[in-house]
Amino acid sequence: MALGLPGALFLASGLSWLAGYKPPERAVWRATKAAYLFAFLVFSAEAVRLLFLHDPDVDLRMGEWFATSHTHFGLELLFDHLSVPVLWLASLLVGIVAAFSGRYMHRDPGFHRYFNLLNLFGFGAFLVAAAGSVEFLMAGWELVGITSVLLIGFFQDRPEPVSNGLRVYGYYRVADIFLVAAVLLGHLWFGGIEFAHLPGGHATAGSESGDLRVTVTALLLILAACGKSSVGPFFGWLPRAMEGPTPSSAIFYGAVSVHLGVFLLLRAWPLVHASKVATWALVVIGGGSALMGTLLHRSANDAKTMLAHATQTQLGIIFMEVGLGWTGVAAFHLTGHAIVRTAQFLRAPSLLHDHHHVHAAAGGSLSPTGEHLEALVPRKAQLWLYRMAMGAGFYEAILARVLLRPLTRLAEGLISLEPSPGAGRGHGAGNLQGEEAGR
Amino acid sequence: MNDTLPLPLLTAAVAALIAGSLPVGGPSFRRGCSVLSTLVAAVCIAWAIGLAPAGTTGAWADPWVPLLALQGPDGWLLLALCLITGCLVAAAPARDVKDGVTGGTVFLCAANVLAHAGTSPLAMGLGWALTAVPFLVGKKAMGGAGRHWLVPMLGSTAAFAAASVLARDGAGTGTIAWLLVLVAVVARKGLFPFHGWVVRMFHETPLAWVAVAFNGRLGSLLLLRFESSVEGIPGWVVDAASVLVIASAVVCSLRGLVEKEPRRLLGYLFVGQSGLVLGGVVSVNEEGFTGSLMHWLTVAVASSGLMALLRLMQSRLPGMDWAMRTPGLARSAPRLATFFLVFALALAGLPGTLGYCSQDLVLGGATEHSFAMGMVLAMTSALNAIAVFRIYTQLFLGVRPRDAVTVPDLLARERWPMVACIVFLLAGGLFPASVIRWKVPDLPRHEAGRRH
Repeated sequence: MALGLPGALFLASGLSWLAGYKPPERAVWRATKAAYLFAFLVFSAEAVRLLFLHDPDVDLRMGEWFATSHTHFGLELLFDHLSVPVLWLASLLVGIVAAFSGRYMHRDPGFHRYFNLLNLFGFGAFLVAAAGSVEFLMAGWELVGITSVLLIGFFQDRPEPVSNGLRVYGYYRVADIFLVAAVLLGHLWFGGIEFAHLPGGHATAGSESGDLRVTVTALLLILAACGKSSVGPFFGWLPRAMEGPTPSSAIFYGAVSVHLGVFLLLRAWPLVHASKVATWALVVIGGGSALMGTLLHRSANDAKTMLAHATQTQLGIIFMEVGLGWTGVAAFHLTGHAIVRTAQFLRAPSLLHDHHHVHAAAGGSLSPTGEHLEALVPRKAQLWLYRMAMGAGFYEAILARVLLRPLTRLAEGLISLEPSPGAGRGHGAGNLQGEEAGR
Repeated sequence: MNDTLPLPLLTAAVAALIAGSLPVGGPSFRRGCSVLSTLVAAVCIAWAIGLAPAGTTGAWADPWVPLLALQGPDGWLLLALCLITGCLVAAAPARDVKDGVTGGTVFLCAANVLAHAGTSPLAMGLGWALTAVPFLVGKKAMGGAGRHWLVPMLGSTAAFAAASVLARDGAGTGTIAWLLVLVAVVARKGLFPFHGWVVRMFHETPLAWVAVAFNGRLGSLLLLRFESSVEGIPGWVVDAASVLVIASAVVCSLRGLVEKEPRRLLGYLFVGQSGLVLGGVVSVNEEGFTGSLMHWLTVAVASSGLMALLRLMQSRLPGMDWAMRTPGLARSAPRLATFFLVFALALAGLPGTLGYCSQDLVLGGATEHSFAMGMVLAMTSALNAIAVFRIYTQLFLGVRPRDAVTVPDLLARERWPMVACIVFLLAGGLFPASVIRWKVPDLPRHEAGRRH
C-alpha cells in the first residue's frame, strides 16, 4: 500500500483536474507529506524487521501482469537488504523535498503540476526499488525518466528549459535502448531476468557462449545505468537538467534519480560480477567520470552546475566501488551522498548567504580546497585541463560532429526516397496546412 | 469451427455505418446521426462477439449476407474501429461536419468493416477498394490536393485482386501470387518504399480519413488471414516482409528526427508504428502475434487521438505556420496539451499505458524471430519516442508569440471522446491481461515455411 500511495495521489489529482476541480494548495501539500510520512514509517518498520530482527527477504508474487504461452510478465516485488534501504531513503528524501516544495512553489502557476509530477516520480522510484524483475523495474525507470524531463521543462514559457528537457529525453531514450536490449536478450537467453534468481557465474560456468551472454547482458545493463546516472558515455546531460525548479533538481539529480543507475548495478550485481569485462568496464567508466567531474566542477561558474558536476564525481567513484566489488561501501556511499547532496541542492538558492556565514565563522580566511593537488600538475597541463573543463570536455562538440551531424545529414538525405522532393519539407507548406488549404 | 450468427448483426452494422455517412440535414443533425451510427455498429459488433465467444478460430457468418463473417480476433478490432470513428466524429470541428469530412470518415469505417468481415477475397477486396471512395469524391475537403496517393492505393487493390484471382485458379501458392500479396500489403500499409505517399496523405488529406483508412490495417489483416490459413506464409515472404519492416522503421524514425511539420511528422511516426505492427505479425510466434494485435489497438487509439487533437488545433489557428513557430499552447489550453502528451507517450510505450505492454511483446517476438530485427525495432522505437516528444514540445511548449491569439481549451464535446480513448489506453496498460484475452488463444501454428 505504501508503494502505491504516490501513484494513487497522482491518479486522484488527475481525475479531479479532469472533472474541473482544483484542490487547494495546502490540501495537496499536506496529502503529499502524509503519504510520504506513511511510506517512510512502513519502510522503516520493514528495515528494522530485515536488518535487526534478521527476518528473511520477501519475494512477493502478486500474480501475472500479462502473459502469453511462452512469456510471463509477473507482478513480482522483492523486499530485501538492498531494496528496503533504498525505499526508506527514497521515501525520506521525497518527503523532505515535498515538505520544502510546499513553500518554495507557493502560488506558482504550476504548483499542482509540480506536485503531480513529484508524486508520479515517487511512485516510479518506489517501483524501481521494489521491482522483482527487470521488466517491472523498467516500468518504474521510464516513469522516473519522463517525470524528470517534464520537470526540467517545467518553466515552459522559456525556450532553454524546453530544449534542454528535450535533449535530456533524447539521452534517456538512447540509454533506454540498452535496457530494452538487456531485457530482450535476458528473455531470449535466460528466460527472463528475475533479480531473486539472476544468471551468474555458476549458471554459465565452463560455457564460452554462456560467459559471452552474461558479459553482453551485463554491459548493456551498465550502459543503461550510465544513462540514468549521467556518467561515462552519457556524461553530458546532467548540467542541462538544472533548468527545473530547485527542489526537483534536488530530488532528481542530487537524491534519487541519478542513484537509480547505481541501484540497478547493485541489483544486477551477480550478473555483473560474473563478467570480468563488465567489472573492469565499470572501474574505467567510473574513474574517467570521476576525474572529468572534478575538473568540470572546479571550473563551473554557477552553483547548480557545480553541484551537478560534483554529483557526477561521486557517482563515478560509486561506479568504481561497484566495479571493484565493494558493494557494501557503494551502498553506504550512495546513501550518504544522496542525503548530503539533497541538502546542498535545497540550500543552493541561499549559497551566497551560507558562504558568508561560513566565511565569517572561519575568521575571514576560507581557502579554496584542492590547491595542493593542483600544484602537482605542471602549469601547461593546468592550462590545458582548464580549457578542456571550460569546454565541458568538448563532449557536446564531439557528439555533434561524430553522431548528430552525420545522422541529421542522412535523415535529410532520405527525403530523396519520397515521391516529390521539396513538397512540405517542414517549411515549404507555408501557412496553409493540409485540409485548410482548400477552404 | 464455422457457424452462423442467429441475427444479421454484421449486415446491420455495415448498413448503419453507410446510413450514418449520408449527407442529410444540418451540421448538428449530421454529426448526431454519424455518431449514432457508429454506436449502433459498435453495439451490433459487440453483440456478435457475445454470440461468437472470443477464442474461436472459425468464422461466424451473417445469416443475411453470408459473404460477411466475424472471424477470429477481428471482432474486437472492428469494435475498436467503430468506437474510434465515433470519437473522431464527435470531436471533429464544425467545419469538418459541413464539408462532409465526418461523413467520409464513417463511410471509411464501413468499408473497413466490410473488408475485415469479408469471408471471400471478393468481399475483402470490395471493402479494400471502397476505402478509396471518400478520397476520390471528397475534392472539396481536400482542396484538390492529395490525388497522387491514389496510385499506390489503387495499385495495392489491383495487386490484391490479382493475387486473389491467382489463388482461385490454383496458383495461390506460386511465387507470383505471393509477390502480389506482398506488394498489396506493402503499398496498402505504406511501408518502405511507399512511405512517402502516406506522409503526403497525412499532410494533405483530412486527418480523420487518414486515421480510419490506415488504422483499419488492411495490409496486416491480409497477412493475418494467410497466417491463420492452412498453408501459412512461405518463409521467403516472411523474410522479405521483415526486411521491409526494418527498412520502414529505420527510414521513418530517421526522417521523424528532422521533420518539423507536425502532420508529416505524425505520418512518419505512423508508418514506423505500422512497421512495428507488421513486425509482430511476421515474427510468426505467439508473442509477436499477440503483441501485434495489442499494438494495433494502441496505435489505432493513440494515433487517432493525436490526429483529432492536431486537427482541432489547426482549426483553431488556421493561419499558423506550424513548422516554424512554437505556439506555446500549454498555458492557454492545458487539457489539449495533457491529452496530446498522454497519446504521444502511449505511442512511445510509456509504462502504465497499453503501448508499453504491446511494444514489449512485439519486440520480444521480433527478437525471438530475428535478433537483428528485434534490436533494430527497439532502436527505432526509441528514436520515434524522441520524435513524438519533440512534436509535443514544438506544439505546446516554448514562448507564445505576441501576435498569437489565446486558444480556447477543449470543449466538453471534444473532451469526453478523448477522455474515453485515454481511459482505454490507461486501463489497458494497467490490466493488459484483459486485452490479451481478446485474441485467439490457440491460433493454429504451421511449421512449414517458417524460420524460428
